[in-house]
Amino acid sequence: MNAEAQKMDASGFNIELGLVPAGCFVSTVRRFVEEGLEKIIADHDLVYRISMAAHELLENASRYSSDRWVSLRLSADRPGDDGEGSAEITLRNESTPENLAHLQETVNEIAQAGDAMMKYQEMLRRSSRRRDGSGLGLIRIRAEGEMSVSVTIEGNQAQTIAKVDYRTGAAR
Amino acid sequence: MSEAIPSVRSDDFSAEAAIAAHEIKVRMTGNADLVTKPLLDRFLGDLHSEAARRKVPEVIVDVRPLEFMNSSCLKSFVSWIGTLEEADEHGRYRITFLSNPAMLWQKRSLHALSCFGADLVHVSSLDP
Repeated sequence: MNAEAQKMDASGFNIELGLVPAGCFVSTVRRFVEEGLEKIIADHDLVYRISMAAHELLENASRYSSDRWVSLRLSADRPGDDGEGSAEITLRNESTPENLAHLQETVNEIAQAGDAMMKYQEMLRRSSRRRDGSGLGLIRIRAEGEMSVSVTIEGNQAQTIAKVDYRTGAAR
Repeated sequence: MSEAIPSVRSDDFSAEAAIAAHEIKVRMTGNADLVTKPLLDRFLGDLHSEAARRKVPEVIVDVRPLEFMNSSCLKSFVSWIGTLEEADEHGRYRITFLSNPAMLWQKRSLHALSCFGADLVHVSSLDP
């Protein structure tokens, strides 16, 4: 393989974006992520799950960011010969103590749920009675996206991570 | 097109309804995200009012051309189904989603909605 071909034959899809304001660009970013992932992953369902998670995390972060600035980092492996790889999406944003506490509480609740689909149904029921926000983004990533969700809070900054280890049939 | 259920349209999304004798047909296209949510809420509110007033047995929602739906818009549907569940027997109708298997969000999200809505919500998978 020549040098030019090697440049085109990426071992993964890695991006880092800072967005201000992020809200109106969420769908643009999702489409960009989807297009990038499709170049390295043949499994369309997996591509959907990762790009959906990027959308939900970015939307959450932009909605609750206190200074409107949001950072998104995505790293996805091209599946190896055995089809294995992983993808991780990291969102960083500043927020108020109340919003950060609520974020931590939601992530804990989802992490402690034994059955993600049952928890999803429970949270859909709760959402139907909510007036403000859906409260569904993170559980959708866990249940529909089959990805783990974690959060680290330091001071007024949240770092939310969604991760998936995969074994697909083939790489692109 | 229906005057009782005004169409909604943005750069990236549209929803319109057509009323027939025994059903209301809805078609949604584009991308349903946070920007779309206020339009969708208004549309679903008008749709429910008209469906209940006419006592139609079924509302068919064709989302086959809809590229994506975010969780905020999913919540709009959850609220609609919740309102329907609370209606008395005469004010209830069935919701049937027409889905496109090529739009991958539809398989997973509409399955979740059909579980949530139990007997009130059905999903038909069709080619676009």
